[in-house]
Amino acid sequence: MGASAIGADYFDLEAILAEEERVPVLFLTSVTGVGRALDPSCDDDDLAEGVKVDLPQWLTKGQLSEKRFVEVRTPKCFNERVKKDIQADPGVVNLRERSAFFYAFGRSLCRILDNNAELADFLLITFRGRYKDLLLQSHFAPDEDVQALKRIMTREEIRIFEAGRQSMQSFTQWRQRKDSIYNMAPILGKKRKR
Amino acid sequence: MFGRKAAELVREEYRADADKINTYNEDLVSQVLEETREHYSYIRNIVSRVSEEPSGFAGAAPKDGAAVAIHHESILRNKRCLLAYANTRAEKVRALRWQLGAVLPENVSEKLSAAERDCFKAYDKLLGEYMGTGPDGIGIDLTVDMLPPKDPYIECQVLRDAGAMLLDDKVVHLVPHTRHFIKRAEAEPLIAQGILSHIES
Repeated sequence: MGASAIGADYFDLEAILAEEERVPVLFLTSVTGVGRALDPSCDDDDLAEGVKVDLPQWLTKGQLSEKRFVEVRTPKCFNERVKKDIQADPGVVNLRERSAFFYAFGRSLCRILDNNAELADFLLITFRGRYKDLLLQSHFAPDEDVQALKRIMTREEIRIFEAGRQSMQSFTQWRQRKDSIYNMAPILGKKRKR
Repeated sequence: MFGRKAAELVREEYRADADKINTYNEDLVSQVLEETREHYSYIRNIVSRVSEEPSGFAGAAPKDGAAVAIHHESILRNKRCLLAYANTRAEKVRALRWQLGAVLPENVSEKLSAAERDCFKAYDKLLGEYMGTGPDGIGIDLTVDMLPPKDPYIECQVLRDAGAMLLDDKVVHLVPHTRHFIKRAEAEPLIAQGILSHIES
């Protein structure tokens, strides 16, 4: 079991779903009994040596890569083309299309790929290039633009974006002195009036 | 197989609005448990077959080792997904006590599993004892005054008939569509339950 599997994010739904992202692997050994389940094109009970399949990341990060049963390759969303796109203009790249959990996925992939420094730098550059726009938009973008803006963001970015919007809304409410009005519990259905 | 259903369960909870609670997905949970049992029986089969071979575990083929590793990781994965699902919902169940008070309305209660309803009751008892006037109690209702109070009384409009109730030590029957000044602490839970609405003054 990798260290991250028992870390502080054990119960974190987002961390769990980030590990659902798929990684291409090369099997360095054959495997008993899981052929059809892991490789849809496989016609045998056993998975053969040298087969390439996409596996969810949680499956590859533990013993499978540690004991060298598989060799992990770089997934598409971190390939050279994506790197070039992001170098050109990080702000306009649709990251969600590449991976909904781009940063979390990349971070744990760094660990699997023997602390790959190049990938770590790339993640940092990407986030740095997008953060300023993200922050400005979360505070000042008009409501009708929000859906379009969110379309190119990963789940992690959306969380930051929403936090920014929430803080702006709370500020406006406070300024208009609407912050001391009680509301019905939101769980009962009707959306809170803002 | 291989964590797909468990991920579905987690995704369902992830997509849910933080303010809402979904119906407990008993069916999917039991499917994940069943799948976990299957993984276990695969491991047992491989282990017992290898242990009967003359070369034993030392001479076991890598292909069997890899298979055990895959099933083992799958079991851990399912466990993590189930626990995260239960934990996220348990947090929401505890939050319900603060939002809605000691008694859950029918339309909320029916969305919880039997265990979650027990959890709510046990949490209610714990919180009640802590806030109560008993030997271990602090004698303060912590669930009210969530916003800093400015005035001890607030103006409220009655939204629906909730029968007779005790307000300010008197039994009153609030008639729908009438407006009243009510003690803030007493009005707050009624607003949360949707019986009153707070009118801006």
